[in-house]
Amino acid sequence: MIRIVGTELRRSSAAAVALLSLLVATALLLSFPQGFAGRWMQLAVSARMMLMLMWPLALAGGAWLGRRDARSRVGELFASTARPRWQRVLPTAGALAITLVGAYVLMFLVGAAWVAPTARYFPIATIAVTAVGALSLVAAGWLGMAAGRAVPRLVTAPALAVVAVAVVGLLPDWMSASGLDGDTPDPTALLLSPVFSRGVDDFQTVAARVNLTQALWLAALAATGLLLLGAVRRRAVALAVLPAMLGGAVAVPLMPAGGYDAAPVLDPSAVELVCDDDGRQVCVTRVHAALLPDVVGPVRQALALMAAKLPDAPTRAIESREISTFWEPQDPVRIGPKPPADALVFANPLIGGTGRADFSKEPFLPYLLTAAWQRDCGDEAEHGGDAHLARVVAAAWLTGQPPVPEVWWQPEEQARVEAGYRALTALPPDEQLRRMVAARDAALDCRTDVLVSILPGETP
Amino acid sequence: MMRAVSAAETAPTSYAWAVHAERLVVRAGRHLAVNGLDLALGTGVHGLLGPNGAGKTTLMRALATVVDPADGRLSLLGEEVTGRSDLRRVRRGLGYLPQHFGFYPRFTLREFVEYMAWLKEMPKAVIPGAVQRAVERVGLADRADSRMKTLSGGMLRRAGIAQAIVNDPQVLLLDEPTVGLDPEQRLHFRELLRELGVDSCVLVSTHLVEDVAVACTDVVLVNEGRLVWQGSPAQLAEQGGTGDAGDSAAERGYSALLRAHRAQVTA
Repeated sequence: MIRIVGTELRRSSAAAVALLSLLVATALLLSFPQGFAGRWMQLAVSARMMLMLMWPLALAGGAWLGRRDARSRVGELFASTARPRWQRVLPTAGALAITLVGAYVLMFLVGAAWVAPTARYFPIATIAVTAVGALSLVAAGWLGMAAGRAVPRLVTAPALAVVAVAVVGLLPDWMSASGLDGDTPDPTALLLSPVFSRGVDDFQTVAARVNLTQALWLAALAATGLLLLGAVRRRAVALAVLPAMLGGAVAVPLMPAGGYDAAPVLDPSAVELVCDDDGRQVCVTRVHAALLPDVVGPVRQALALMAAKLPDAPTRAIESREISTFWEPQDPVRIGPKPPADALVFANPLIGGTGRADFSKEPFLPYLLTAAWQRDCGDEAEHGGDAHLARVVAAAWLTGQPPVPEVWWQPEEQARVEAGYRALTALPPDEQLRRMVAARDAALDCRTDVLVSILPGETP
Repeated sequence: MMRAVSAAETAPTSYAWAVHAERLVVRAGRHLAVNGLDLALGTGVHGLLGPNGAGKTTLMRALATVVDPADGRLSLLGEEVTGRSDLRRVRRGLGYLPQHFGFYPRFTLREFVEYMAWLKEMPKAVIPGAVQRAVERVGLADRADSRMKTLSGGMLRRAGIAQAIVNDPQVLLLDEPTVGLDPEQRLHFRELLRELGVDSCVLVSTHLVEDVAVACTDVVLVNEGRLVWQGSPAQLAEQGGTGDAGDSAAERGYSALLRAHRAQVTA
């Protein structure tokens, strides 16, 4: 049996199918390494998104392999042999499972080259998320083989691929898009698809409940594929469908409501703080620990500038632990207690393809200076745009240089910032300081009205 | 090659005939291709002769347990195969070369014969040796590690024989094994048949009366799904007269028997 598995690995199309999915998925994964560089959970979730391509390919590849007996016309010869059909299909199904799991793990390992050198935090759930992804490919391969055997046509494999793209790739998006207008959550059953349709924040992990129920469902689906493949009589075919039906019936009620929106949960270990005490204390979350050497310099520079101008200036800095979710960016959620008043709270800089901070797209220091008038307060949609412009004026006041316009500002916004800055600096120095301190005190209390008042009113 | 001999192999056979059919009926589609055939075959090489459409291939398929008989009795190696019996034990003792030999083209010859040995549930330890021996016996030792798709027509036929004999079957069914073989290979094949017929029951279906006359110990003539005649090649040769069609005594005997049977059926 082991020998036959070896022959199948060498000679069947299993290896070619796996290689094709490996190449396609890895190419897509590496087209945006910034999405996961330095973060294991992001890599695991990105790999699950690649299933959008790998799942249909595994299904089609399985169908191609399942058609082999009909294509080679070996049915007559094999029908005269002693070994029962269910035993005969095991080496072929085993070889396909080995190569598909190998392709998925290899893709993960290739991605790991962008993660391992910098990552300091390895959540165990990474393994669970990856294992569920690999299991889903086995289910796809075996279901495909059963389909290829049942309908041994040339068109079976490509048709299955197209259907699979529609079902695992497009259907979930379509279903959640149609639910956006109302506030109805996504259907729970969307979690039956192994393809992650939503990202996960750096501070989040995938709920164990989701991993477990998905593993249960996908194992049942794989079992159905294998049983269908080995079935000879009609009754065996009917019985083969049972595991998938039972698996689905058990798994769906156990899944959290809301589809993939409900899959991410906060990872308390990821947001533990890692600090640099060599000077003014600078702390980042564990998941962003690799960024600490990059941010320490600009952050201490910002703290020094604040200390020079502001009384009660922040004496240390802590990374913000707010999650702004992909679907509700205006409504961030704060994790843990309110940060202490003596700390500057800053959001992590962009993460580059190497897993280190990338300051090239967004200059970090100007942002840090604005952060003196900002807190993790949750929803600030009320004064969102104006508060940002007012902070730019405040930061310019800290440095003593006129504000540098951002490319995306509207001309009237730029005019208001410049007018605000001129008006502020025209005041006597004591008055300037009084206003900026008042604005900061209010901002630390999560009120932006005082800050916004340094801007001239909107000209209609 | 040395190998251990199991108790099952040395036990005396408990059946009179390796192949025994009584009033056997087998369908090919809706047509009764084998229709009330009686046949008893023991050890030796049996040549199955008959015109096209006589039911030779359908009979072979039934004996290979690929199609279930529609009626009558069939026993192979002393076990009833009619109905829903467990055929696993019988099948381990079968070797079968179908008329259309299907194979996995990307496997090498050795891998494919090995795969067939595994399907025939041979003990793991004896498979590599048995495969090498089977490949050598059909004269393909030098091509053992070539892919199946690179073999010529004659080589494929021999590869088909190799997979059929790999398990030293007690019942060996060869449907047109000499198609595509050149004269030298056919001579070699006849020799192989004689060897195989010493201790197993070999049934060879063919159109070539000459092959039967030279290599077989027994001739089975079927027509329209029934047994027409069974006897030795010498007896077959005696059946023909100078007026019968054919270039040899055996061919004339064949023509005479068929003509007589057709006259009997229409009468």
